[in-house]
Amino acid sequence: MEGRKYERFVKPLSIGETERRSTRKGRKMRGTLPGGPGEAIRKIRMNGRDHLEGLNLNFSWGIHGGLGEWHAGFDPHAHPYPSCLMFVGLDTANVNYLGAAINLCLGSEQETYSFNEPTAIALPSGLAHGPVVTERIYSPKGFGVLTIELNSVSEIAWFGESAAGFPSESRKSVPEGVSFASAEEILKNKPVPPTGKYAHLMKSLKEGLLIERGGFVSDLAARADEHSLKGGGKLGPGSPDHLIWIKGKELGGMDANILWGFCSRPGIWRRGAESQTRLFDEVLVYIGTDPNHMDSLGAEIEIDMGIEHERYLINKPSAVVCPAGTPHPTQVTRWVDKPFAFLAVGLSGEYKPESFD
Amino acid sequence: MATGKYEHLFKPLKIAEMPGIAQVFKNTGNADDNRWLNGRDHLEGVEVNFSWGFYTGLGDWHPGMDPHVHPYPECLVFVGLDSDRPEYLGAKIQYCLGNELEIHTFDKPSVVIAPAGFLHCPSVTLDVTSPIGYSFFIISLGADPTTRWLGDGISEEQIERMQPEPGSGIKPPMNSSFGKKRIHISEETVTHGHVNDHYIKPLVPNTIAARRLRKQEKAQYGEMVQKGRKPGPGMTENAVWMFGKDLEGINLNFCWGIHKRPGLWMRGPGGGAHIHPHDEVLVFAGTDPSDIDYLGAEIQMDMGREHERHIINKPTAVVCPAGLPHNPIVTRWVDKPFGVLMISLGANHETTYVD
Repeated sequence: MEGRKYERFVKPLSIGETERRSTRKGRKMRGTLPGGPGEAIRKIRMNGRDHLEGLNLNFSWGIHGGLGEWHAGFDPHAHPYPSCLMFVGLDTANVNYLGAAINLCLGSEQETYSFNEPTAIALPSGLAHGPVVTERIYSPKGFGVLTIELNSVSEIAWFGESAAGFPSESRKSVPEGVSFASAEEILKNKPVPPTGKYAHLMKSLKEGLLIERGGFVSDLAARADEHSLKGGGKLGPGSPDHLIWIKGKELGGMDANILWGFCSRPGIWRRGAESQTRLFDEVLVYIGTDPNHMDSLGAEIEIDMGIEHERYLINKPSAVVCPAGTPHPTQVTRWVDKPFAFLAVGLSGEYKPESFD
Repeated sequence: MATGKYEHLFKPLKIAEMPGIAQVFKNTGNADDNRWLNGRDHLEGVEVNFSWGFYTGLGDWHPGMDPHVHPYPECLVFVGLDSDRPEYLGAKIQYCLGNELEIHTFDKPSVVIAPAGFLHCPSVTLDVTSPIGYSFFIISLGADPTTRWLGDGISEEQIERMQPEPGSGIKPPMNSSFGKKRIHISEETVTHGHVNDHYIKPLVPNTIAARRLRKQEKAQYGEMVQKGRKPGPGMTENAVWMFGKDLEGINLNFCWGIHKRPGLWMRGPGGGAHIHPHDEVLVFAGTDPSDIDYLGAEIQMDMGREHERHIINKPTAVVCPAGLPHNPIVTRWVDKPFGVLMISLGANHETTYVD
């Protein structure tokens, strides 16, 4: 276990824990977000500059269990870079189950879109979005939300009416990257029914289903994954039980591709390939699925980094940064006490060829 | 991957292949196919020789040659191949033991213990009820396989076949000698008493993966069962672990089990490497009687303080000299259940974790 050349690439998610901050009227400010009743119970935010070795990426993970608006009148908001919101369920036996009903406004018109299944929403740079309202929660575990933003730090501009009234003194203490619209910039129009103008930005995750219950869902899915199974490789027993793959062209041209899934079984993830090298930066994220114990992964995974096959053990929620050209796993899950979630964000809209040793 | 510093300790069972051996035993109860490795030629001088083979035939294993003796103690282990029924042998065996030529029969997985110099055999397969037969392994506590044959039915051809080829300089796989006084085995000469009952022990799953251990039992495992260590998903709950006290006091403990699932074998804190004060040999064997060189699984095992990782995907014996850190072991995938035989040359499995 000696030799820690790649240690800096392995990051526990706890370093991205956002802190609650008191704001006026007793509201809480969490990281870059003013909290409403629908906001996440806890939230992790990892940014490229501080946590992810300079990648042009920041992402967050939170578990939501409350009903209502998320941002307490501060919405809509916008980011000056492309991003993606992913609403995912916590039923590790059914990746197609969200367990909640969500309303989300898109555009300055505040067209309101509703959905109740796992969904990705592509957000072009500058597109106003929100309020986000959790209308119903059916799952006793709540649901999870991932934000994937193509910038090394999070930046957010609030356009809601609460933003205008946010005291100037308090603004000095808000987290870096947070800004508030002036009174003239506030979006005062109310949510309206959808016209379909933004429907193309919404992607049901089940359309990207690649693996379900341990096997490819179709020959097409198998072929789509062929690139990473060449050389005689095939899925191993540790492979995700369920896996969704969303590419950039399905996210409004976003320069990223995203894998999301659940794993419950020990063993190697890919047979026949000892290592893989991507031609783009990538982050692998291992996430616990117990809303009451977000610090617990419930499993132990072994991964190798570099041509040296330097080995690391992941047994708490963690992100592993894999810069382009750095050989990295195949992973081996050593044990699983509780199914865990797996997220991979590759900073390329297309899945470029990779090599193996 | 691995630097190869410890590569020499990984021995494919195929290195002990003896072409034509199946013909030697044709029409007997002996092995359809087997591999027999010894410390002298294959196992870095460790004072052990062991065999692994598949059996489907009926009858005497060494017609006319038995009984026989060895200058070292050994265990003769009969096991089934059904990974879901660890107490099913699938055969009925007759075994002759001691100066009394005492006849015993059993049809459950069992170990026969033969102390050094103890008269044993013939071994006769009376029946095979499993459609895939059964398996058998020898664990002998000598690096140089040596047998003195005492049967009165040995033919000159058999004797000639077991001699080293003159001038070849090649040692035979078994050093054979032949007693001056021969013993005749027949219904008139054998006995049916119980003097030697204690040399045959049934194999019943009993390891830490199958049940909670009593305090005195834990002492036999050393630190393996301390400090929060527990079996992982790759461990089988069907294993049988026999210690010196179970084996008539010989300096051996062995564990046999068929593994079916991927994952880490032993969970616990730290890096998971441990040492023993005794030499150990770990044998990974397939369970497909049609191909003795097929393992049907992939296992990774660390060797040394460097945790040099080695991949095992064919039947292999791993030599772990006393004091050499080894482990953890992780089963990566399993296409077909595989057998694991741990041979440890001490009465207890004294284990100390080093990281």
